[in-house]
Amino acid sequence: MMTELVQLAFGAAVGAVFSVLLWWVIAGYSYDAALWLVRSWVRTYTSIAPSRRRERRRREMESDLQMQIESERERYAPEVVALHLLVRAADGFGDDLGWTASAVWNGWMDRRRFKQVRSDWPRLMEWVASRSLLVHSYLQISTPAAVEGEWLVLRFAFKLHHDRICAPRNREFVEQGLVAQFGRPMKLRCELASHVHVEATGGINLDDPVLRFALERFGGRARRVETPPRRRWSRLPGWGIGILVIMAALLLAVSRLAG
Amino acid sequence: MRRRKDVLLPIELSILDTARELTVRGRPVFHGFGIAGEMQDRDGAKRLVGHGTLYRALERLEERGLLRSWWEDPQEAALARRPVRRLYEITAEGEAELARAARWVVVEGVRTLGAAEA
Repeated sequence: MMTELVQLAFGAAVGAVFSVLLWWVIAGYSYDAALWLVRSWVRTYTSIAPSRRRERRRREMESDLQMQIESERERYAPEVVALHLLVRAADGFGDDLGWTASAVWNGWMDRRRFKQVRSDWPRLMEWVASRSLLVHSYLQISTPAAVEGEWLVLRFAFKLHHDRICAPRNREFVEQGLVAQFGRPMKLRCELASHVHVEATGGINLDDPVLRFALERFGGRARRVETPPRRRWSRLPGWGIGILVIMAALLLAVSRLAG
Repeated sequence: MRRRKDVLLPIELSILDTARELTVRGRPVFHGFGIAGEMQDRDGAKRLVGHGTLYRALERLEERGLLRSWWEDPQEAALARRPVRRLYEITAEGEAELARAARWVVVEGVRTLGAAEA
């Protein structure tokens, strides 16, 4: 009987020690584990979405997680914050899956519409030019970046052009043109090129500050361009001066001989 | 059953109403987490609204033109050493839609009361 009691007490003590140790480990890593789980989930359900939507959702989630941690870190223990993060992610689980399904479907439809918009863009520019040269000049600096549902995203290199086209009157005018040329109503969303993701091909170093600034400012993709060979006629001025000097020397010599 | 596109969900109405309230208080620009916190305080909810539910609703409202959104200046975020935030603002269409929804609630309330009294 005594032995059994000792065994029971020993078992309880070992169990308590292990429980404390386990809790200590969970508490220590719960924070990172919860973040890892939520981030992995976001990466998973956004992986098949179109790139613009994917990037937006991932960046927005990252900023949300950071803000939630910042706001709760002072008030709660790490394991409670971790639990809150997980519960919040689980709450939106169904909507995340719904978002993926609609993002994939809409992305496919949007790509088709975007192709049509790009091919018909010159027609819209002609329509705008025939009605307002000023709006046309602002619109010339922009490029259609994407179609998102009813929205056409226009990307601008400069804030001035962005602000002018985004002004309600001009925006409505361009939207009228979109209806006239594309046969269906579209709303215009303006975007500054400084907020776009930069990219490059051909092993170009994106750490170059000048290149990076240019890409962030104007958008687009960096591409290596071979320097064209110098044209022959560009050497003509040098030859011309030489011929003039020789002719002048000959004239001088002839005039001396004649004199 | 498929939801009608022009009908606002309770979460969407709540977002619009909170956004309007923030505008009245002089803070028209908000971000996702900010409005989730405001909604929690206002509704006295125990938990913040789920990530998926919140951001999907915000996207839907933006697609309908009831909210406007943009990325904050990346330099500002870099200086504060934090991820860039997506900022939102209620549009005039959003305010009109909210007013329409509020009128509908009042009309339905009066009709229900009338029916109960009769």
